[in-house]
Amino acid sequence: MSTVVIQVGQCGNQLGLEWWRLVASDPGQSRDILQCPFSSRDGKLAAVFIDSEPKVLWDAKQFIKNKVLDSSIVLARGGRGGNWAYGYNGHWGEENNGLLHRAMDAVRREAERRDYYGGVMLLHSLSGGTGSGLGSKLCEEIRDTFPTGHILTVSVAPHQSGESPLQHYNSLLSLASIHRSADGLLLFDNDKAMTFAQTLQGVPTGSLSTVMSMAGSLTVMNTHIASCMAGLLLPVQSLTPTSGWSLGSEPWELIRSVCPLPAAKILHTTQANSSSRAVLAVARGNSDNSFHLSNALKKLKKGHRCVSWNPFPIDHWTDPKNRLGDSCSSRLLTVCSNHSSVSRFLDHVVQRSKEMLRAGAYVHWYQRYGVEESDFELAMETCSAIIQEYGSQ
Amino acid sequence: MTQSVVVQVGQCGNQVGCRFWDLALREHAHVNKKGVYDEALSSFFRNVDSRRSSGGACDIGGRIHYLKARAVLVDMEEGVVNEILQGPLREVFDSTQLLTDVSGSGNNWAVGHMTYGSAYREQIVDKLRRAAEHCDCLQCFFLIHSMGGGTGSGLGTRVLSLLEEEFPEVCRIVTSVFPSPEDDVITSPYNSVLALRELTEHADCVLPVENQSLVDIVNKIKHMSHGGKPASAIKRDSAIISGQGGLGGAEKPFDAMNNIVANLLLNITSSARFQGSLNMDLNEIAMNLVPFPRLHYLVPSLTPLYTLADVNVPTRRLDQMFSDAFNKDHQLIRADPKHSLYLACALMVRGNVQVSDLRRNIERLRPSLPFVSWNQEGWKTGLCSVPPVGHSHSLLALANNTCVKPTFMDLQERFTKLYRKKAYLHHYLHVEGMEHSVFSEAVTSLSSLIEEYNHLDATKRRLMPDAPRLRIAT
Repeated sequence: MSTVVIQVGQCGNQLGLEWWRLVASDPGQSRDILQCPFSSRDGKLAAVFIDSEPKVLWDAKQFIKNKVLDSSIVLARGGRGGNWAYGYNGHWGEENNGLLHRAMDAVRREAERRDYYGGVMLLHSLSGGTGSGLGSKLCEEIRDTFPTGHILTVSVAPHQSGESPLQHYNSLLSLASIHRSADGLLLFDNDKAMTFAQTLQGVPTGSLSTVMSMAGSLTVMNTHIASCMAGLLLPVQSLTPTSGWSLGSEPWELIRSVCPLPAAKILHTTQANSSSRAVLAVARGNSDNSFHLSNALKKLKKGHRCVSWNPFPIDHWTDPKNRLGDSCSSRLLTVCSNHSSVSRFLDHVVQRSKEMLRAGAYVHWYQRYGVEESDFELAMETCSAIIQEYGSQ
Repeated sequence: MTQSVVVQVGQCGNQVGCRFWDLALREHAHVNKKGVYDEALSSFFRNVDSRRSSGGACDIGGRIHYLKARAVLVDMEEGVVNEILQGPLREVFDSTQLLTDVSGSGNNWAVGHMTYGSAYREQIVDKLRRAAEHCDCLQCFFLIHSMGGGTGSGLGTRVLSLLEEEFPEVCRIVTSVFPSPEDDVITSPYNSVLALRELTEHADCVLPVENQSLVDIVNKIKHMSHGGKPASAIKRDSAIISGQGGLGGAEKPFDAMNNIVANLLLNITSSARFQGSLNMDLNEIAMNLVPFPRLHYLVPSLTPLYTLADVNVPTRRLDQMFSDAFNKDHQLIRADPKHSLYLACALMVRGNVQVSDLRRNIERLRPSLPFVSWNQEGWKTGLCSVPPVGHSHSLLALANNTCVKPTFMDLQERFTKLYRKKAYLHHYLHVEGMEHSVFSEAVTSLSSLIEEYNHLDATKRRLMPDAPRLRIAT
């Protein structure tokens, strides 16, 4: 109830629509609207949908019409060409970035409708034009406009084998910008999501199958990411005050638990073998209180190799019910950790960007929209500093 | 939703353009069953109701009255345009969109570019402005012309530089038909080299197409449909050379070849018109595939060429479609991209294809395709959910590859052969505004373009891995 969810760009909007389908469209819940933690009293969702082209939201017109205020849908035309600079600065020669202003108006209006404004959650991709460029600019503007609110971004990293030739430049520039303005970055990866989607459908990875698999493995990937988010961010009993009404502060508590240092804010929801600064485990469906009695916490602590300077490296929340529908099992454990394997990804992005800059490739497209080589250098310095921070423990 | 305007210049340009409009109407009729004027239609057509007072333009969401193409037709002789206006497509164009003259350009670039270019400058700009004003959000100009003639090559490139002057922020995508070596126009090397310089300077990206490759593809399909076993009959409207189901009457001689180019344009714009899981707008093509401003020649290849009619025969595997796209028989110019260096490659898929299929095929094909060292992940992917007419899925690959270099070198050689002897030069120099310096600048531009490609190719040698050494069992 304290969060405004903003979805920017094609990836952000596709992911966002899956998230809302998971969280808000259960017909059983519509009778008691307060059940959905991300809507306000009039039943409208606390959401802002932003895109620079209208096609992505056409499909979901029916769903959106009833649930989202008209003023919260901000669209433009023509796309942003997969270019961070175009998304960040707007049209070539345009005085004011019109789309940005309309987007900020919508965000402000939505924030004013909250009973208590805690912050925003921004869904976007790192490698495109709108999601990455406009998303970065929005983060900065929101930080300026609401200095005490939190910003949690859900950033989707591209396939490493190549989704767009500009993906390294775009990822570099957006990571550098967002790391400065946001409080936490939940990083998801298209490669891992795809592997998950394929194992779920029973298709072994790497096989040459001729049968068309189920409609939209992109949908399955997005559902997986949305359910990871939901596992962490839906109300939990541990954080609900005794009155029974959740404040919806899970995202902010998440940030407080898992981001102990401002120089290292990138979070994963998968386990890994690197050293972790902090871990949060959210257990749903814990009606028999077995989570405490199990060795899960001990195993997590060992598996994560937590840093020595953090006296309470593992935080946990529990909830007796598993709200994520009956398609999931009755118990669900989601783990969010802040660990150093992210430096591998950042390093890859910085190295590839350096090579491309050295060859002078695509630079004229960025210069056309106001981003010079010095901006690239600055972004590389920021990312190198993050890599160093993660590497130093 | 964005709009595009098609400018067709010269005989070849207008003939290809005519096929394009026919196939575009066929495709939209196939998809749009309700007769509502929707966003997809508005990208190439206006909806006009002449009974209304304000000039007739209708908004999106209404019923279709009369569709008018967003096009400008230019030709310096009347034959081709008159044929179009007497054919079944006459309703689609109105007289304000046409510009004709009577005497033609005599296969002379200078006459087209300088004489007619200056004489008709205001009229051309006026017609372009009018077409642009009818658009809410104009994103792209498509120019269709040939390089070997006079009007298409000369006046066409003049139109291109006018487009850059008047509409600098609008993308310019040029489809150029390059002459084959056995071309019957003697002066085609001069015309092509002079036009190529303009394309390098003023276009955002160029899709070169060669007549010989189109002929080869047509022959391949005809061979498949006439020869072969009965089970391998091709579904009538699915071959990319067929105009089946369109408005056009009896098939004319170049129709099969022109249909291929028309299909190319339809596939490039499909993701901008229809929905899909990975949308790719027209401005993304230039921004993602052109790392250096002058190297904007993208080799197109289309698959599948046809689908089999017999439903009992299993459809060719999806993966075969991806492999075919990189086969030199499917390229629309004679080139061998697999043995040259890729700067970037776009895969625009239409139909019921999943992201996982796309990723799997990219992984599979990557090892055999040499990419430049700083762009090893230089793939741009687009997924549109609407397949073309007659197919369940299709793929258009646009490769920015150094394999265009041999085509340019060939052109340079043919030009030099004529220029050394100063053959036919007087026809050009007689034209007002034309001097020797125009020729020498054009040659310099071509040489430096070839040099830039050479420079990139030189980096390829560093990429070649060592041959694996035999392990000797001891």
